[in-house]
Amino acid sequence: MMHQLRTSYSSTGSGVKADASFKVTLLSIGWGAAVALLLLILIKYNQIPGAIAKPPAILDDSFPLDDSRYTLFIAVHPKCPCTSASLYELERLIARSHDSLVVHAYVYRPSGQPSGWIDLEPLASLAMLDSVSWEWDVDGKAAQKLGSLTSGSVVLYGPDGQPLYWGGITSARGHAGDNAGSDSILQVLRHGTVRPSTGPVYGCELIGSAKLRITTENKE
Amino acid sequence: MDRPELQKREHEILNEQFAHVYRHTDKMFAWLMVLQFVAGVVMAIVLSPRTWQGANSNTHIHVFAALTIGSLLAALPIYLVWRHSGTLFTRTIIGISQVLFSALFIHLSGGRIETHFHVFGSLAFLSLYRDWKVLILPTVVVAIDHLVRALFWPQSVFGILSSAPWRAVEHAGWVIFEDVFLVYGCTRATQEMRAIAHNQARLESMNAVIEREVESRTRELSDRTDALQSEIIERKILQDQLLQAQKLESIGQLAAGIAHEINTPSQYVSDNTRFVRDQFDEILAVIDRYAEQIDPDAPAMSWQERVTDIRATLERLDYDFLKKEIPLALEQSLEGINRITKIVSAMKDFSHPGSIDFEMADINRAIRSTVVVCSNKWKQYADIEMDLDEQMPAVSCLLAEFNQAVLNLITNSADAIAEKHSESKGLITIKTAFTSENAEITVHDNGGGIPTSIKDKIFDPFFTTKEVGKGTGQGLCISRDIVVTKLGGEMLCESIEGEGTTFTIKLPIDRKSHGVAAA
Repeated sequence: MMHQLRTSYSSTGSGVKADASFKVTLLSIGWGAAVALLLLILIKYNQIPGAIAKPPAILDDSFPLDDSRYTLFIAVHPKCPCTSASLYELERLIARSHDSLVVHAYVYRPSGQPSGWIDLEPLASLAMLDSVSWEWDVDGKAAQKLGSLTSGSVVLYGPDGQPLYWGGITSARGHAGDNAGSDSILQVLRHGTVRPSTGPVYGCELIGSAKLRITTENKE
Repeated sequence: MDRPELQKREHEILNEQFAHVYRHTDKMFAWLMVLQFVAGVVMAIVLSPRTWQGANSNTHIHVFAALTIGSLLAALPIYLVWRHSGTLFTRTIIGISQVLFSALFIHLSGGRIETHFHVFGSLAFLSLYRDWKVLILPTVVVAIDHLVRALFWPQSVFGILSSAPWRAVEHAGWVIFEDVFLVYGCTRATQEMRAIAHNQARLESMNAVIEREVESRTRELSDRTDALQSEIIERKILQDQLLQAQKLESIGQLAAGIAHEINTPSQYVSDNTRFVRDQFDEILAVIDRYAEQIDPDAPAMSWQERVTDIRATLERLDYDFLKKEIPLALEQSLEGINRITKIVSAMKDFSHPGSIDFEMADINRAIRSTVVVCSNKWKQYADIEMDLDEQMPAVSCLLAEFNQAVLNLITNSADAIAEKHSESKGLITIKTAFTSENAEITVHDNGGGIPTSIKDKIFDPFFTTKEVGKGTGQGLCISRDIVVTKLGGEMLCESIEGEGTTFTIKLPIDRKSHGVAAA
């Protein structure tokens, strides 16, 4: 026998006074708790940063450093859902850098994969900017040299070739919007801060090997 | 309906309207839940189908989240709409589910600012319930969501690890900002619905009054209709009685004339018969004389004596006179008897017993009989010429009623002529003719005609221009009633003042083909 909600309409006509049965109330509380728990898990997952390593203090000649402006290297996995958010934030960052920044992107491509494997659409708008250049990063070797183990990792080098910031420029996995990483970079660009800093990065693993995971904390 | 009853009805109507709004909106949200679940899954599959580790990939957690959280969010509201539609509890759960869907979508879309509009859209949609209370818990849920995030994962909302405390309520503040207008809108909508309910209650009250009035009037009308029908029936009976009375009156009036008509031939038949009887003794004496002449026992007489004797007898008899008068007397008697026979036959025809059933009748014969029967009505003032179409077929009619109608017209014509021609005789012309459908009988007189001013009244009951005691004013009225109502025909009148009047009767020859109802 189904428990019914006793319903009576108020004399003012402003609504319904419902007296939920005990079962339905319990069901609803359980429902709310389950949804809240799952949402918390989702939030928590989105807040789990990826692996990152400290970049080298001196880069070899294969990395195109600009000696008059700041150079930002970004390593992305073209199929990672979070890449769109990272590139979106990168565009915002370039727009606010007042030409004091050049960007070079390393786009991951595993060796032996057909050319159709890569979706270049996320890069299309970025590639149109004058201050942006990019190249394929087969098996993520260049990213690995930079310590960028997670898609969306950036490394900022000053005109003097010193790393000033390394980490992510999003606030969560695939989550565009204000973030501490972009604020740190802008801080460097505007005030010339020399103290290196780092931040969490959110995205897919670039290398795909657990042994390469070195958290920022461990490296620090 | 007094004031408390009016208010009670107003509340009933208002509650019915709200119940309808709640249930209708519940259904819309139930469908929206299904749609949002599908949209969440599609969004997850399109935006973040897989998560990658280099060249390897797994299904992204967003896909699982869309399936599990999305189905959970949709399930309870749909269940409640199914089982408990219209309750505050149900729509509150729907409201909470809506803003939690917003949270899910914001996650799935990667925090796109546009997705936040889902919160505001949901609140606006919830206001369709026109119940401001339904906005409370969803707003609280939004506020708690941001507060918890601000406390534990500030970067998920504000993008930074440390934020000013006031930012925790910033998002909720905008939601409350919208709530203010939505609550105002709900309140206004409630007021308007109450006004509508009030008006409807008043309208129903007025309708009830009107319906009672209509019912009362209808009853009165029905009573009056019944009374009218009774009166019509009574009048009909009276009319029939009047018709019968008039018929009897006509017969009564005709009786004297008919008696005179019969008396005249009877008189000379009687005289002639008496004459023949008286002369028969004389003739018998002659015959006896002849018989004596041939009696063998009689004294013998010479031939000369016999001739002398017979001549003397014939001279006494006035033979030449008898030879001429007796055949004449007999002839006249026969004529008189024929005339009586004709009058009696006409009377018999005229007094045809009234039948309730139509019968095929020879209307020419009926007219001739009527003319004879009422001859004392007209012969003093007019001559009658009859031009009757001998090819006239039998006509379906009630013969007694038809005779009465013709009699009335002839009487009317005779009276009209009598008024105009005080010294000389007028002329009444009766014609019959027929078409494929109708038999036409026209009675024309060269009397004074009918003045235009009274032409419209001649068929009115009791209307007469005759002196008091000479006419009842029923003749034409009854004739028309007979022709139109009983016989299903038409009766027309054409009159030229000073020249005469023509009445035309048109009768359907075959009543069945004309669909004339039995009288």
